[in-house]
Amino acid sequence: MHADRHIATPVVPAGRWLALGVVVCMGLPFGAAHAAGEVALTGDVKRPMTLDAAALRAFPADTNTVYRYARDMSEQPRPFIEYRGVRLMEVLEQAGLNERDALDWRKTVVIATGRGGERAVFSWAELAHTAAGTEAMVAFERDRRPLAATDGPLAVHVPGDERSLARDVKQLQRIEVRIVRD
Amino acid sequence: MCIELRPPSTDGANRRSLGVRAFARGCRASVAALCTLLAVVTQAGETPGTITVAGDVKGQIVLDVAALRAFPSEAQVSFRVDRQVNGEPQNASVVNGVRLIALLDRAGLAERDRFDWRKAVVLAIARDGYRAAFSWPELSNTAGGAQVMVAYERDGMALIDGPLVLIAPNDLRTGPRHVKGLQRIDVRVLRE
Repeated sequence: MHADRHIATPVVPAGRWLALGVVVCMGLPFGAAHAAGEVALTGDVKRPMTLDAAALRAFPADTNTVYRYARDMSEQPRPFIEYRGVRLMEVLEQAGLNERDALDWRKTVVIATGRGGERAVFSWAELAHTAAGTEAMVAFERDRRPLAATDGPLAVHVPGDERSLARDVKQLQRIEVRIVRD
Repeated sequence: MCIELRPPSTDGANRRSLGVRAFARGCRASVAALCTLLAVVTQAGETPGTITVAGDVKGQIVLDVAALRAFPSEAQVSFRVDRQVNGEPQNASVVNGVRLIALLDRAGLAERDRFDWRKAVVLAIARDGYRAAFSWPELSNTAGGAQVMVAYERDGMALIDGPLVLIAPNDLRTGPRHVKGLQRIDVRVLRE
């Protein structure tokens, strides 16, 4: 099953990412300014990078996740709200955890920050090994259209949270990985 | 946490005088004393058999098995461990504990505004330094997180790897966040 495989090292064959490499801006220094429509992956990662919506669309189909919310519009052809994105864990695996040993990921946290400075945290273990966490996504489409300017172009969406929207981060700017060693 | 002094090497042991041995013994004793002192200082009042909930909390709390048993029933949680031997089901084992979020709620998050809980993390730290991280929203706002517990007994008996053990029974792999010899729960609001 997709969710329960071992994490911390990307298992996707390197060749599949060649196309992605064209659109991924690699090696951006930590904290460097980046365009408004991009998300920067920073902190304790092997490969700091920025990704935009086009880069996320280029991820392999099996890293995508779609979540549908029922709504009372049953007479309509699409009686639900649909979010599409790439699993947050897959995005993190692209950057790679800069771990010193096999225990580091167990004390790692992930901080998503929006343009307004609002933050939401996840534990790495939660994203890798819980039913709810594996569904957390970096969303780029709602109802098959790009996210509205007020929400996107990229947003963190967490279908598994009981009170929904608590950890949704609109206008996502940064995803920071932090190994809490002390 | 105490580093043992290595035993004296055997080569040349026959030439070592009694005085040297006594000196080595003395060294060992003083290192042991130093280790004990260090342990006392670093644990800062954390007595064996208790856990301390500390960090960005309104009030630090120290709890032992009796204190955990005294939590109200809605905070208590248990899970069954179903075992099979050669395909034959055995008597299920039942582990009892208190929800981690109930402990955290008792200590209280030292929040400055209503968004702080979204950026709070919880570290479970063992006596041997092993640590596992949880996010506060995972514990307070997901179905699986509500089952994360500080366990204090199995089939009515004290835990052999305890006395208190942190268990996340709904993790798809339960090993990584199983914290034996739990000593400290550390709460941090990641404002920067």
